[in-house]
Amino acid sequence: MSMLLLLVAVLAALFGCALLALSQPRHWQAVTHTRSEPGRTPQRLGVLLLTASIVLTILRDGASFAALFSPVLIGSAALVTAMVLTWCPRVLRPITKMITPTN
Amino acid sequence: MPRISEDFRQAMNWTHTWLGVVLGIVLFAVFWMGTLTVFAPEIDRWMIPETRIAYDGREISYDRLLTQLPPDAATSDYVNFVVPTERHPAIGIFYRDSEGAFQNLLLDPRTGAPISVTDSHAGSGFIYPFHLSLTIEWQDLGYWIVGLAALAMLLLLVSGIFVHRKIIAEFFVFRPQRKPRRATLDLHNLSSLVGLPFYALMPFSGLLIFASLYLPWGMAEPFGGDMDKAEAAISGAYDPGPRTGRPAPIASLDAMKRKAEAMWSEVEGAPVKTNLVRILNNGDDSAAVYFRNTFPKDRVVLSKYVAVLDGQTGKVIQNFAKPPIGEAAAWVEGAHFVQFGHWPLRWLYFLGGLGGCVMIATGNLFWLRSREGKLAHASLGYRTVEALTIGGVTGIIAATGAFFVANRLIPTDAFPVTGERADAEVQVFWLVWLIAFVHAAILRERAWAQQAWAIAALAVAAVASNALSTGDHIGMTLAGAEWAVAGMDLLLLITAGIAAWAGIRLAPSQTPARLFEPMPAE
Repeated sequence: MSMLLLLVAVLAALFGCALLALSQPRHWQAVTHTRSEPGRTPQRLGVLLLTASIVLTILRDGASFAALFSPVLIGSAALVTAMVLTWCPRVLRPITKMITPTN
Repeated sequence: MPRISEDFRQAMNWTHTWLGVVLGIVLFAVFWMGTLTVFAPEIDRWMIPETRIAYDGREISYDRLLTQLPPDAATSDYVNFVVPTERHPAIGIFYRDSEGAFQNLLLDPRTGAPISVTDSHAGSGFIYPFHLSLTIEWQDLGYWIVGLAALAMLLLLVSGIFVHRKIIAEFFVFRPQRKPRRATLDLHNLSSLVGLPFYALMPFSGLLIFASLYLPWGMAEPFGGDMDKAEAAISGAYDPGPRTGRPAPIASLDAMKRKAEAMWSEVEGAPVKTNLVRILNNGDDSAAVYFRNTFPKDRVVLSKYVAVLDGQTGKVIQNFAKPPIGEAAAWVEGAHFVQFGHWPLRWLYFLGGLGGCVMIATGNLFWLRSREGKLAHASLGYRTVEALTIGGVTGIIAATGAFFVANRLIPTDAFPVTGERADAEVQVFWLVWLIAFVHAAILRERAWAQQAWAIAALAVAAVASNALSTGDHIGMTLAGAEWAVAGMDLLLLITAGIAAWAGIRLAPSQTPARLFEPMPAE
């Protein structure tokens, strides 16, 4: 159970940071190869997932550990997102398709 | 939100630039050694192979140990037992000998017999103190330099936020394909932003840990200026007073330990274990036994409990628990000491530390790149910063690699310049670091690639020399789940791979063309 919570918290942080990055037009357009705007959905979902990641770390370890774990986890997820956007942005294309199914 | 004036931004830019240039290399050294300190016990086991003992969690009898101690330790008036853990499987002892000098011993937890170990300062004896004080002990100068660097780090973080114009728009941006100066700045900004809370917490908590050194008057003020009283109130320190000179045997240490742990566990509502057993005025009828629960594994907060029992009767003399306000400070300190048993967080600390190293190195590198191709490029100031940056970044990493290799290759009967064999390893570190600075001053930017290759070679040599000198090659340690040794070897091999890649990328044939491209206004 503890490992599962950790895994879900990590995934939520990774997807949350990816969505926040995609809420910025420059990254959205680089990933989708379009000139479209991302709208508000990626930002809202991103914030939601990051909040979920923080809640899950609190549930797993308590607030004392989560106060340390969440910032470094989210920071690491942001770094991974930046590297993916730099070298392999197409990895994030499925996410853009999920939130804009008509595209 | 009020608009930030250009004058203010320029003032912040000036502060950020010059604090970084002046103290950047000290900060890098402190961050680099702090990053390694996260795994100091594992480094200890790698560098002192005799302590690669499988921890089985068995209960230790300190009464029995006391009877087995070598005469010098058994007759000492001040004896400390460090309770073994999974990360420190040997029983640690430190005591004051008959001449007043402090001595260390390691005991095998299975037999209680002293272990004849490789004479090395290793991670806990060199890398950790270097992180705290650069090992400059004279007048506590090293602690003051590190404290100043920590304060500068906080100022650098705040000023950096004001200097950065597009903090949100460029949060996830890294453009390695752009001009080197732009790519360096991107990496500096990215590594700064993703680790900002971590980078703020580390210097702040570091300053708090040494508050009694940096601001002793403020702490002693409520206690009439008496620092000993302040220490007693803050941490439960206990002074048994002078010896009476009347010899007396000590009561059962095991019974007293159980009593202390039972008292703590009752208050806590969960088992609380002792980390340290200390006998004060040993062998005298004024003896007292001090128990401390320093580093709980299941929480961030440092020790809350200290119990002192009478050495003759076993009665409780002092039962100390930190007041709630003390616990708040203990959380901040615990966040810095990273002694808790949370492995995912420990690894993120390690990565955060490396991120801090990248942030500091790219900051200095950006300063250099901004002046390339200009008149300043030939100035003494530029050349000094250049040599300090190269020697301070790749140089200290190479020196650390040399420290590991020296640990495995220096024979036990070696004659170092001063001190003992353990000092010889440290002398190799300082010598290689000094050579790296000289090498950088002479070869300038060509030194980057050569030092990167030196790091790769030293890292591979460290892995090979460990396998040859101990027989614990990486295949064996992985198969035997000896994670401390296997992890150290794996990290050394990863370091070698990254350094070799950097050596190829920084090869002289590519360097001049890239370095001197002027950057267009952006």
